[in-house]
Amino acid sequence: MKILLSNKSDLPIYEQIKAQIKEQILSGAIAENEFLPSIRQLAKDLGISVITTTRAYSDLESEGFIATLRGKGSYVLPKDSELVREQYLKKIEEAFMAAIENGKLANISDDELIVILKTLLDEQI
Amino acid sequence: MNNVISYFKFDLRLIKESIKFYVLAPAVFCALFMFSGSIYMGLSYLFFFLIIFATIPFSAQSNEKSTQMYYMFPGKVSEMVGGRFLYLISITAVLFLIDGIIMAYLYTIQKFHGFEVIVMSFCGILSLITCFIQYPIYYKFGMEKGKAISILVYLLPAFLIFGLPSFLIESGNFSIENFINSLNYIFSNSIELLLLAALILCIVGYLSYLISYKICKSKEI
Amino acid sequence: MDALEIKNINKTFEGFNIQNISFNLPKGYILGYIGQNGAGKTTTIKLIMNHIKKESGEIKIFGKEYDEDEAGYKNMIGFIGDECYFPTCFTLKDVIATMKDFYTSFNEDKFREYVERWQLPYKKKIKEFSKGMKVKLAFASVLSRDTKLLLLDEPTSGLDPVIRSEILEILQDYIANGERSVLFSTHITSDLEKITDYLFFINKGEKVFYDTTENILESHLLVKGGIEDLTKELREKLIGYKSSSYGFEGLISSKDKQYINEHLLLEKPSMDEIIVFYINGMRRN
Repeated sequence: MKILLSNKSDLPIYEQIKAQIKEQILSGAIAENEFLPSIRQLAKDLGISVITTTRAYSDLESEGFIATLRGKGSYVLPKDSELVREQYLKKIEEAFMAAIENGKLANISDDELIVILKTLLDEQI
Repeated sequence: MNNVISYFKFDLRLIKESIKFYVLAPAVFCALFMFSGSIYMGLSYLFFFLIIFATIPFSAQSNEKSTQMYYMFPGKVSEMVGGRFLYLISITAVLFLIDGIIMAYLYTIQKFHGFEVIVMSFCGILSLITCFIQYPIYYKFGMEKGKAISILVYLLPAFLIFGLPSFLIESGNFSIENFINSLNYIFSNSIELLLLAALILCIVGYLSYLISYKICKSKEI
Repeated sequence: MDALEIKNINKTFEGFNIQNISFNLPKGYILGYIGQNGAGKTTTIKLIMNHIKKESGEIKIFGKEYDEDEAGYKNMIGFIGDECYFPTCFTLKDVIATMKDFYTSFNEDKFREYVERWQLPYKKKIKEFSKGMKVKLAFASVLSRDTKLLLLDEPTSGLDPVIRSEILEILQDYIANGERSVLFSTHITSDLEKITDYLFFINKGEKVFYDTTENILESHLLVKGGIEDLTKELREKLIGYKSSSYGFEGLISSKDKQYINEHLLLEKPSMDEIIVFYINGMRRN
């Protein structure tokens, strides 16, 4: 598992951890049923507060990515296709929002944006 | 009990350095006294020496700023004070032993008689009582103030010793008869008086321990 | 059971009072105790160790009060201050002998391992040690026996960043099993930002705030703007601020975000900035 934290980022540390773990789960870098390092071990290795890692893990758990077994630790849940789909949809939405914002800044019309999207999609085929 | 010994050993380690100072000069003095013929001065100097020796842990503790450490150890305050008193008893035992051996030797070669032994014993008891009085003073006031206050403690008996005879003579109650009578009384009951002094010693010692304990318990560092 | 429970501690001194200090430190966590010099950090630690007697309130370490079991209470505590408490005439040999006498859980091998690791000299007296060596000696003696609560009173002041970083690692290691806690008092807040779980900010003997480090960092924002943006309304909401002819810079609670004009610059504050602005604000009042 790879985690790189940035102090300069706008995202709070626990969000950065969440995001990076989620990415690796979705991409398969962390396998299903693989056990993540314990909350305390992760905090120690990253040199951060235990409360931060606790929060990251409990958020991941409530979002359905991992589950915790008392005494054993947290492990990666099998990728729920529904879940994966939702996460990717979220990412797509975020990417679109960024494009829309940029369009506004550069005064590019909605129609133009749609044309660009269609062209790109056509190029993929 | 374990901890009392641990505190005692810590005291000894603490004074390891300073002891060198304290042993050398007096030892030289003592030797000088002894061999220049004034045996009594030499022996009673040893008792005076006890009083100095008894204060070494206090000055070492103050110089090294170790008071905090004493209170940090996982022991009770009563054990901490007990350790210091154990130190006092130990050095007393050692010094009394040295004195005792020298006196026994002198007694056997007829240079010493019962009279001298009794006087020396009283001196010894007096010096130990002085130490017992000093300890709570040093605990309460620390070294600098403690030394100043201790001088008052010395002044009182000194005053008695120097002032009493002239007071007695001038008040007119004094006469050679009374003096000889009291001397006789002292010598014929010397054993009882000695035992009485020893009893007073124990009481003073115990009180000293209790008062020291109370002082240390409520001390803020 | 919490590692440390402090309830309504009060103590009066001349010119300074500890007033109603309360906080709980659960086991397995690090508490950063911050404040300016003279704010009451050392006093609080002395009260916990019972070197100063509290006038009212309760202090419990793992459920135990000092008076219940003097020796047991003190045995749980590992204290490290900014000065070496061992007599300076001691050598390591004396330290080992002392530790063996007083602490049944003292592990001599572990101690020697630390001595090796940090290259502390066996032949020298402590008075010949450098400041860094003295602190390392204190850590070696505390870590080679069983303790449950570490009380650190500015142990890193005067130390180079390498040693400071080593110490932070040691502390994280200490709490790794979730059964022991650390109270770390300092005014070098950069040391704390990363590893502390909780922060207690004391000023003039009183609590300013106590929360998880995360919450504190997240619930504050640094706002910057031009002089004209510093309206009376905004000024009231700011916890503290600095202004010059070029503009102003202030600290505000995140929940007061609505009072901030959109074009003003918002940033994540560092721990230092939070402290400085709080004190700045208190001084203005």
